[in-house]
Amino acid sequence: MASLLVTRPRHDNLTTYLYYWADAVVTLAKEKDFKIYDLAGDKAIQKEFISYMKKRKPDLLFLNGHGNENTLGGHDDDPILINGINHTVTASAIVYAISCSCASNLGPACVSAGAKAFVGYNRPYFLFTDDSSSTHPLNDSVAKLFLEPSNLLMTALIKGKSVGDAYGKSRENLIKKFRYAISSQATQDQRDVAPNLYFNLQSFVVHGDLDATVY
Amino acid sequence: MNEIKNTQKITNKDTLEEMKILVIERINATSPNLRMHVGIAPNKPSYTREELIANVKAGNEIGMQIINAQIEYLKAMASGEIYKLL
Repeated sequence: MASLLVTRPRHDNLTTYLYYWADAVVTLAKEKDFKIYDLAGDKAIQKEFISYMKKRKPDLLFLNGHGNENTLGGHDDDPILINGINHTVTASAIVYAISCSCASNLGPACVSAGAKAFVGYNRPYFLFTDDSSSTHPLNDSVAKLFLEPSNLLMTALIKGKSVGDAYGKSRENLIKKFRYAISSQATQDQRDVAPNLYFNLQSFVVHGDLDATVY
Repeated sequence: MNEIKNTQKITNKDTLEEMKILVIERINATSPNLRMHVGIAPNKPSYTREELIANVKAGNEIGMQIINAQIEYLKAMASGEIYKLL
């Protein structure tokens, strides 16, 4: 039985959006009989994360939060994964991090320490939202352009696709969203975020074994 | 697939000021409904259109990230790189 660990804090607007959008990933993983370790809200802290990583050794990690080149944060930006401190806990796992810049230093360090693969962003990660949808994040047609491709990576991995295939599908979907955003079919709100969709696309990278699968 | 696109540092002050003017005008033309979130810890992570403009004017870390994103996009449009995606 494969296992999924999710960190999804919920202490500001960005993390709240990521929290709700991660629901679909958790639901699919349950349907596929994954063992789920859902560190949601104030459970997304270093102590809990390290404890689960050491005891449960999950196959797939879905990490949501603020970050920088060497650190990924959890609840209230508590640093939960830190390059040079505890990055070795990700050994043997496939990791996807929605977080600024983690794939620049932290990601390669995790792979060097044994993580099968690390997918993420090697520069700041931008998310735009529509204020009129802030109480219904899943109905936000602007946020959807950024987060649907992101979820596609996780759903592909959960369905057994290789890291390379999942990354390719996600990237292709992000390109599709970008094409839509610059088209006449898009709303003004959607067109306005095209530059940042492009920026995220250029920052979206993968390290490690592209043939790795979760099971 | 793994090529890292480094963000170029803008070292010429005049160029930076011109870029700021351009980016501010572009942001001014965007929808007031939009809110930008960027997860650079530990800064304030959520910005309205007016706050984006203030940060660009200030030329601080967030402001420079916004400028870089916009300029990168414009350069990609001008060079034709964008059209490889279409």
